[in-house]
Amino acid sequence: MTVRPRAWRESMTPWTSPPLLDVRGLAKSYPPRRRGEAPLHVLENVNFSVREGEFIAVIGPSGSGKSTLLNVIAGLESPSAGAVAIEGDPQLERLGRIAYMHQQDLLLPWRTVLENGRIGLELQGEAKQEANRKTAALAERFGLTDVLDQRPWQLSGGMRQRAALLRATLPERRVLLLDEPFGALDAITRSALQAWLTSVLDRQKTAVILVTHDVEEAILLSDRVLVLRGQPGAIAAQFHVPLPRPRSQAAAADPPFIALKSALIHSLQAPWQ
Amino acid sequence: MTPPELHDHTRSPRVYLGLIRDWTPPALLAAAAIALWEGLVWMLDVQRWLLPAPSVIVRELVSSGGLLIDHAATTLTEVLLGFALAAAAGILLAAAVASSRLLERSIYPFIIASQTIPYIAIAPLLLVWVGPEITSKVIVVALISFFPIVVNLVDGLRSTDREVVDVLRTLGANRAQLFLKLHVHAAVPYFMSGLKVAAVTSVIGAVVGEWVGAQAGLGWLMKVSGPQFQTPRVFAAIVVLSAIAIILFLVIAGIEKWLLRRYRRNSR
Ligand SMILES: Nc1ncnc2c1ncn2[C@@H]1O[C@H](COP(=O)(O)OP(=O)(O)OP(=O)(O)O)[C@@H](O)[C@H]1O
Ligand SMILES: [Mg+2]
Repeated sequence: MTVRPRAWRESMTPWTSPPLLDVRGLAKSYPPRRRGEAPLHVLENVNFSVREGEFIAVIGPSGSGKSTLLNVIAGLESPSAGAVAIEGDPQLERLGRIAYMHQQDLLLPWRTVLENGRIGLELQGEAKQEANRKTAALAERFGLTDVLDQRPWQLSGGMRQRAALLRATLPERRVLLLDEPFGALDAITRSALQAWLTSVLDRQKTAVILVTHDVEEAILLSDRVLVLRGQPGAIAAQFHVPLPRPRSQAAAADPPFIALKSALIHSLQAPWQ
Repeated sequence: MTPPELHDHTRSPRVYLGLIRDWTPPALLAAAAIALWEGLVWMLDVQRWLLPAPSVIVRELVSSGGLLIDHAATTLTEVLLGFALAAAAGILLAAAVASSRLLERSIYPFIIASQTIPYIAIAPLLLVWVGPEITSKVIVVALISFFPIVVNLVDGLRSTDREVVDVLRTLGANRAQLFLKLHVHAAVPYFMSGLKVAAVTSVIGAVVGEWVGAQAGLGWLMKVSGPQFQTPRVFAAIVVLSAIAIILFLVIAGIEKWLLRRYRRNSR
C-alpha cells in the first residue's frame, strides 16, 4: 500500500491543461543475470503525470530505480508493464522528443563546446550555419560564449555540466529529464548552478523531471516532489511545494520550506516494506 | 587562457628539451652496440662474408647506393600498394563486422582463421596464379597487413560507451548517424594503432613475397646476394628495409598525433 502524508494528492490536481507526460502503471524488471535466479524488479506500478511548465523532483535512495525511470520515460528502455504517453499518445516514439541530461556530462571529446552543443540540431538535419547561430545564442545565456571553441577536457566540471545541458535543451523539447545534474559538483558550484537553472528554465514552457539525492535541491527547484522508494521502487509519497517559483537560496530559511524539508526527510526514513 | 605569444615563447625550448630527452637514451644505446660490434669483428678477425663490421656495411651502402635505391623502389611500391589494399579491405570488413551481429558471427571467425595461414606456403601458389610480377607481392603484403587493421578497427567501432550512444539516441540519432557521428570518431585512435602495426608487417610481407619469387626488390636482392657471399650487401639491404619500415611507422604516428590532438584526454 502506498503511504501518503497529508500533503498533496494527485486527485487534487487542478486539471487546467491535459498532462504533457503521463506515466501509468509503469513497471520495469530486468531478466536474471544467471539462470535460476529471480528477475530483478526495479520499478512497480509507478503513476504520475506532468503538466506543461511543471517542475517535478524525484527523490529516492540509491538503487531505487530513479535512473531506470528516466531511461524508460526517455524511450531508451521499454517498460515491462504500463505505458508512458506524451501529449496523450502512448504510441508516439519518445526518442527524439524528450530532452535528457545524464548525471555525467558525456560530451564528445573530439568536438568543441559549440560542436557538442549543436549536435541535436545537426541530427535533425538543420543547416550548419543556422545550428551554429542558435547554439551561440543560447550559449550566451548559459555563460559559455568564451569557451565555445574549447574542447570538453579543457573545461571545469561546472562548465561541462552547462555544456551538456546546452546540448540537451537546444532542440527545444517540451519535456526535460535531468538525472542528478549537479550531483558530481562541489557545494558552491552546485548552488550557483541551481540558481542559474531556475533563471534559465522559467523562461521556457518545458516540463521538467529532476532526479536528485538532495532534499533541499528538490524543494528549491520543484513544484512537486515525488518520493521513490522500495524494492521494487514505487512512489511512496508526493509533496506539493507551496512556494512561488523561482525561489532564491534564501527561501531555504522560510518556515514552510523547513517544515516541508523535515516532512520529506521523514518520509524517506519512515519504515517501508 | 594563455596569450598565444607567451605560449609560443615558453614552448619551443621545452619541445627541444623533450626531443633530447626522448632520443638520447636510444641513440647512446645504438652507438654502444655498433661500437661493440665493430670492435669485436676487428678483434676476432671475423670474415666479412660471415659477419661484416658496421663500417663495411656503411661502405657497401654508399658504393651500392644506386642498386639499393632501385630495388628499394620496387619493394616500397609493393609495400604501399599492399598497405593501401589492406587498409581498404580492412575498413570494409570492419564496418561489416561492426554493423551486424549476423555478419560478425559469419565473417569474424574467417578473418581470425586467415591469420593462421602460413603465408610463406601461400606465396609460391600466388606466384603460379598471378605471375612473377609485383602483383603476387602486393597480395602477400595485403594478406598479412589487413588483420591488425580489422581487429583494431572492430574494437574501436565498439569502444563507445552505451551511455554516450544513449545521449545521441535521445537526441534522435538513427543508426547511420550513430555510426558516422559517434562510432567512426571513437574508432580513430584504434584505427591508427592498427595502421602502425600494419606498416611494419607490410615490409615483412613484401620481403616474404620477394623471397619466394621475384625479379627485383630488396628481399630478392638479399636472397641472391647471400649465396654469392656478398654478406655486406645483405646487411645493407636489411638497413634499407628497416629504414623503410621506421619511416612508414613515423609518418603514420605523425598523422595519428595530428588527428588525435583533439582527443587529448582520451588518448594518453
Ligand atoms: N541494464 C540493467 N540490467 C540489470 N539491472 C539493472 C540495469 N540497470 C539498472 N539495474 C538495476 O536496477 C536498480 C536501480 O538502478 P538505477 O540506476 O535506476 O538506480 P538509481 O535510483 O538511479 O540509483 P543512483 O541514485 O545510485 O543513481 C539497481 O539495482 C541496478 O543494479
Ligand atoms: Mg541513477
